[in-house]
Amino acid sequence: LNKQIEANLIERIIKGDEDAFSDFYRIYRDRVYGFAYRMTIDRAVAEDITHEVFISVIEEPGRFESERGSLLTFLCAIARNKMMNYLRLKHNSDVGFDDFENFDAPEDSSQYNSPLKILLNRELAEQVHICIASLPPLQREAIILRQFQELSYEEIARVTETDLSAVKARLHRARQNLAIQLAGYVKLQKEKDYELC
Amino acid sequence: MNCAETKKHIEALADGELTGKAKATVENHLQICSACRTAKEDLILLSGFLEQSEIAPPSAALEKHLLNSFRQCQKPKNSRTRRHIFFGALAIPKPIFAAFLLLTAAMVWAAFQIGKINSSVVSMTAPPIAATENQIRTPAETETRIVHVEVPVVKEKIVTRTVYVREPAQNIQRAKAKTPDSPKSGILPSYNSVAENGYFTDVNLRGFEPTAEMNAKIIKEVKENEK
Repeated sequence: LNKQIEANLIERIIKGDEDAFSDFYRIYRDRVYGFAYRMTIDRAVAEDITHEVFISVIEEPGRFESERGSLLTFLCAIARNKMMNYLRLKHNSDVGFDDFENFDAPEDSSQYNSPLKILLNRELAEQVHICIASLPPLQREAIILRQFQELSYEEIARVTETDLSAVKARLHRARQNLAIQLAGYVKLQKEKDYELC
Repeated sequence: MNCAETKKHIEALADGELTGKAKATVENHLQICSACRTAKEDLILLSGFLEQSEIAPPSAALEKHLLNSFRQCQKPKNSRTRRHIFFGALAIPKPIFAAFLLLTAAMVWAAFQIGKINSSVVSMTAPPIAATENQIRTPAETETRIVHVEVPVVKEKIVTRTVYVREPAQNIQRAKAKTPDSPKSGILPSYNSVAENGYFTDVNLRGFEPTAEMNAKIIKEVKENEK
């Protein structure tokens, strides 16, 4: 959506137009929910966060300023704050997102290296979710915002309240980790492509 | 550009963040370097894997709940505005409310008119002239006599004006002896309070509202009398 359409949509929501809110929800539902789910890997929590994000818009739609960024960036920033609170509660301590930078990958990550076995038991999509979930939160949010929310580096920097170089570094590390975890799949896919050739 | 430098920019290129000269340089290197090309292909393959991880949308109950919340949030705002602005806490029918407004406006207008008359009378009361001078006695020690004078007609409204005049004692004695019962005009003929060096005379101007010029004339006359 361009800025003008986004601004109009918010204006109609401010005026109490229910159809506008319904359209707004349908446009951004999957993006917000996807971000929350990929960050938490918990449907209930993701729905709660999605709910809270949209409630924030219902209560204070005027908080959105189109000149400061896109509506998606605005929603992602709200969702990120909600998730930060969730992660703080989950880890039962008053730590910020930065404290999760060096989280270790899950101990059973070795299973990702046996793709045939995994393919027999689980869907590939689910494995990708797990791989993403195993990333440290800062890398995770960077890759989700880039890969699934399709935000630019600058928008990611705005959402995560950091600078461009940090965003690039996080994305790079996230991709490195994912490449290691999904190496088996990549190899398998390459073999398939080779056979097809 | 060598391989190490190119690899730094491959991700930005794949993400569409590279533009201009930098983009052209990296693309040129990719055409001649198979290792960097493979790195870029791996990156694209990884993105393809990630994109396969579609997720089911949230439950329909969430949408219903949010729509309800939206309605709830709008309701009190609208009803509160209507109630407070037009009818208050009670639901008063519009004609009664309009009649009430008209009546209130009429009462305010009437009160304003009465207040205007009173204030004009008050404003016509002149302060004691040279009241700061020590020779002047307090009003309690003076005698009061009402003098009728004619003043120019400005409005058909009767007002009473009190003027304080100060005169030497001999003049007062003389004036008092000559004072008729109801003088036709002027303020000098009515003196009734005499003192050694000066006195107060209350002159009531009963007639029509005098103009500002008339006020000036009175003051001037009073000052001349003082001399």
